[in-house]
Amino acid sequence: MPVERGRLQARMARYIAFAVVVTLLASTASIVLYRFYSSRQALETSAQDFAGLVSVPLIQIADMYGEWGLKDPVSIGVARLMDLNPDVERLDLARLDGTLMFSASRDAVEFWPWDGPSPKISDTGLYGQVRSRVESAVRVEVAGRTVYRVVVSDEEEGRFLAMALVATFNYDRINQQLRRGLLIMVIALVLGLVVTERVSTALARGITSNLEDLHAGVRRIRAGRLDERVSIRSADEVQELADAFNDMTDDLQQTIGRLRQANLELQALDQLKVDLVANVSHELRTPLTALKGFLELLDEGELGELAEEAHRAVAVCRRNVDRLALRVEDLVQLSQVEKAWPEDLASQPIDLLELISMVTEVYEARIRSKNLLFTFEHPSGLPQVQGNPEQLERVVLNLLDNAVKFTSEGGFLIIAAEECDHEGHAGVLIRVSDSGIGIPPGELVRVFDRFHQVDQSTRRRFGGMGLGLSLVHHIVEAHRGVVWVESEVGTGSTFFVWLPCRSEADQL
Amino acid sequence: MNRIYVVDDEPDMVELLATVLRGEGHEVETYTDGRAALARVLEEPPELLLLDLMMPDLDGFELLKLLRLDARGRNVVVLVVSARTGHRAQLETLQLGANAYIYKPFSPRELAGQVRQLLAEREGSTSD
Repeated sequence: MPVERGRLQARMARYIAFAVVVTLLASTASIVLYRFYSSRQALETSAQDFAGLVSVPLIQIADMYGEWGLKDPVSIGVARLMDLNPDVERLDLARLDGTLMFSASRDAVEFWPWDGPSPKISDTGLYGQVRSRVESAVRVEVAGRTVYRVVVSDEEEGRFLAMALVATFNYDRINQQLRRGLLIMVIALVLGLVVTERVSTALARGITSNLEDLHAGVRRIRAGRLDERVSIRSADEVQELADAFNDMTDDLQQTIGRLRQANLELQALDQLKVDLVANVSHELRTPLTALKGFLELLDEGELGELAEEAHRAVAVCRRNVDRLALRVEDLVQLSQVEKAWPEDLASQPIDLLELISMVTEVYEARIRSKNLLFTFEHPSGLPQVQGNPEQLERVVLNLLDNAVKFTSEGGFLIIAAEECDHEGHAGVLIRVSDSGIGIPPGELVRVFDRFHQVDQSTRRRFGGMGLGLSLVHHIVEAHRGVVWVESEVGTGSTFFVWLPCRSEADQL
Repeated sequence: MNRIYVVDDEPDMVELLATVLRGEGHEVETYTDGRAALARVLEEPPELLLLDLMMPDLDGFELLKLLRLDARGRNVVVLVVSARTGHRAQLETLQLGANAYIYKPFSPRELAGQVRQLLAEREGSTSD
């Protein structure tokens, strides 16, 4: 039975089948029962008519036996009379004293001696009825069977012969009819069940197949195929639902389109902002350099000695230009932070040795100009990490920048890279150590906060808004790495950056 | 006493660079136009060329490329002075054949130090 397909379909099929079967059962049962009761009614009516009709001829025939002792004509007459009613089973003729004259069945007629001793009616109720001349027509139980018994008294005025007829009818014909009716009902039910099962499944499928189409449509939308629509033309609630669903998809598509457009505009705007920041800071650098350079020359007396007032003024200008220069650098860093979101991580395998070498190569001049002792410690090879090369370069650069910034002339600077596991995951550890001013213990956890520097005087002395390290933090976290710092005030700091190696998943 | 050419489209920058270098005792020629500077370098190569990257017409990258293509300019020591801090640009110029890179804003002392070092290296390599 293909009903298990889809719970709703099966349920609907069951409901339909149930309704059909109940209707079928009720109608066939009522037909059969109606037929049974009306047949029985007809039987009993005709039985009564028959008994009333045959009582007089029977008594006449009985006379022949009484007067002349003729048995055969009586037998034949009785048999003829019995032929008139198919349901009559026996006919008993009794005298009004309760003694039997003859008893006729379908097979034979039993005569009792006319004037000899004849038996009395054995049934006491019947015996009483006959003696007191009560007429009746009732359904009674006789020897475990139900029969219809009609008692007719016939007493002709002034006549010798006064008798009672006890006619017994059976229900065999009706019962047989009932059995046949029940059999037909069962057959009809079985056939009905088979047909109903088919029909109801087909009907249910007609409804649920539309629902399945709708479900397929929902799945398509979930899969992002927003262009497709559900096509259901069933002109019912399911179609209404499908139409509403299509409308919703239209709205969704429009909304997504608008959002996408808005996002594009925002991205463009953001890019514009980033570019603007980069360009502005770039445009600011050249005039700043001129200002800064000449002020420094003036301040240091390279262009001739200044009067004391003038010298003080120049010193103020110089300080402020330096501050301005630092703000410009912060702007540059800020534009980098904006770019460092993880979704923009164009990820590729990276050889960190190569990357660090390249960054230090371009950064070397800066280190040299501060006369720092610089070393790059590394093994002959390192496993590759996964990431965005530009951003990781920015990490190394910012760490170097930070170290150089806080280390006074003649100090040392070490950058080292090695293989190192972290929490069971293979990776590479980059270490940048300096002999700078160090970080107080309480400040260690905060150095990676955006815009944080150890204190305001540090900011004035060393510049920057502290974006460099927070950018390092941001990028490393976006690469699922870890960054931390160890430091001792007056001795120096070591920054650690751990980056995970390419995992199996990355290589897929 | 070395001859140094300075190329930058900003006259004020040129002025600053020239002032610092003259203060160091060098002979300085200044150019605000890339083509004129290139012609002059090829005509009479200096000991050192200070080169800005962002210039109209012929920019620093192009100038450097043309310079290195010419036999006369192949050995000129070039110090790139730029406001472009991206180390991509820095790497690019180094690959094009610049000898060093200094980015704006720098202090005169920093510049003077770089120049001294480059000239000393040049001295060492030519005397070898």
